[in-house]
Amino acid sequence: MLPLIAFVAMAVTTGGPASEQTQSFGKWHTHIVLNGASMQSGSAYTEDGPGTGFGVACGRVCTFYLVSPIPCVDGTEYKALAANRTETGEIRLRCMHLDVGDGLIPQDGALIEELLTGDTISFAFPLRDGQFNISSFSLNGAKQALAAVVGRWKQEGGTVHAPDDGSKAADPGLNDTTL
Amino acid sequence: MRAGWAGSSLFRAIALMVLAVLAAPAAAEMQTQVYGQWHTDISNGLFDAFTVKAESRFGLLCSKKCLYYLMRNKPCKEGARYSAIVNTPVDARVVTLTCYRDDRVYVFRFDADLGPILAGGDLGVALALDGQFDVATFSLTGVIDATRAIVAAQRTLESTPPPASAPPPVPPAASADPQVQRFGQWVSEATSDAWYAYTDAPSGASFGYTCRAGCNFYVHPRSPCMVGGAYDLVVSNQAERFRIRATCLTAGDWRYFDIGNDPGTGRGSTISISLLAVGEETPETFSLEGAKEAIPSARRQWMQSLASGHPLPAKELKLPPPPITDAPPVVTH
Repeated sequence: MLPLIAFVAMAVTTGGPASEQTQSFGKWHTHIVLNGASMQSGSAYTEDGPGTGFGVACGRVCTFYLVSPIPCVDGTEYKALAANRTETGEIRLRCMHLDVGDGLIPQDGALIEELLTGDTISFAFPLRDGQFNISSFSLNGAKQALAAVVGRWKQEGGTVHAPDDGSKAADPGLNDTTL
Repeated sequence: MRAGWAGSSLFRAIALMVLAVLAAPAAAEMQTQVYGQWHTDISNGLFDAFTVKAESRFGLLCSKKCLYYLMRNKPCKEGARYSAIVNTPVDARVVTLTCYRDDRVYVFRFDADLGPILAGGDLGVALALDGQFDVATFSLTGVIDATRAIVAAQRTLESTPPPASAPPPVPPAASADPQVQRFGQWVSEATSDAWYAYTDAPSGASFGYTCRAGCNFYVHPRSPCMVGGAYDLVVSNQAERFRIRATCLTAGDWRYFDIGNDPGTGRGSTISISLLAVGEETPETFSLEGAKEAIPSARRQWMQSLASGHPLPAKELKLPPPPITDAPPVVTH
């Protein structure tokens, strides 16, 4: 079974897969779907337990993704705090429902990129009632895995940006900022 | 519920007073009340509404201004700023906290007014520390009543004129100089910009506690040391013996070592500190008679000065030792 993050990549692609390539780099993995010699979609990802993953998915667009076992409301934007050993940053993530689960798309990929240094990247997601979901992902192998997918995707003419599919919830209320 | 929101310098002064409150929870004039899971303490011009869970504490502290604070048994770097996300049933907010440290107590001061999001349920704080999140949760049951109570008490005090015939200040018992008080073998002394508690050994060595931008313990050794040189000091109190690595510092022609936290002034009647130099151990023994009174006295005066708007030094300075007249000649290597 493909990891959830790989399904996320397929969700933003076009056309059907022809063949697949997978590789591992430390704690990170890549999954590339080829259409002939061209990359149709790909993902570089790592996991922090069942149903929890973080990575980049490239298809029609190329973007960071988080997957969480905690359900979110499709189209709603959430806030979270991301951190590595030396830096932190507030991020906003938009929920995307998929057949296989919920994905969260950071709206500021540049901030995530800045945090991809050091050994781990962690996220604190506010839940209801003052609780948090804390996810921590190893960056061991991240650089190589991201280069394998995003680098190839760029070589083939892709442009990295966060998706803007117009699904942002209109005027989310205060309570909408927790999962 | 919102009181006047403090500026950064006053924030620091009040935050330091948090430490005083935490260090002296049983102050004689303290008035306490309970509101659900929250408590209020009103004493010595401080108005504190807080809740406690395990070894952690979250609260609102007011003097002339107010601040929210988090006491957490997690080491942090004095003066460093940390990011956190605060989560309540009303909203989640990313905030910045500043670390204050006093001995083994760490207090994080929030740089934001959390009042608008404090209502019912639980509050969670996920604090980013070295790439990991430290999560603390507290009940908000009673928060509104408790914080309203201290803000109302603060405003009442501000609007109450001082008594027409206030008693005159009591001069220190052992000295005609109001800036110097003797406590047994210790002296508490204030200068224009620093506060000291110290004792002198017959040899001319001294050991004490100084406050200016912050507070720390120091020792002025009888033996000379080379400024900037790193030395090993061996500390022996009644309970333990341990080694400290410290740098020889200078203030004028004085040489001293900043030894940071309390090396054990609450343990026994004496403390010995040896400077290890060229393999030789030269112990100095200092009396602790009066230390328990002199050190809090110096610290209290320092905090009062901060609260009354005493300007802090522009930067963190290494503190000079207290002035003494019979300092031994210093020989540098």
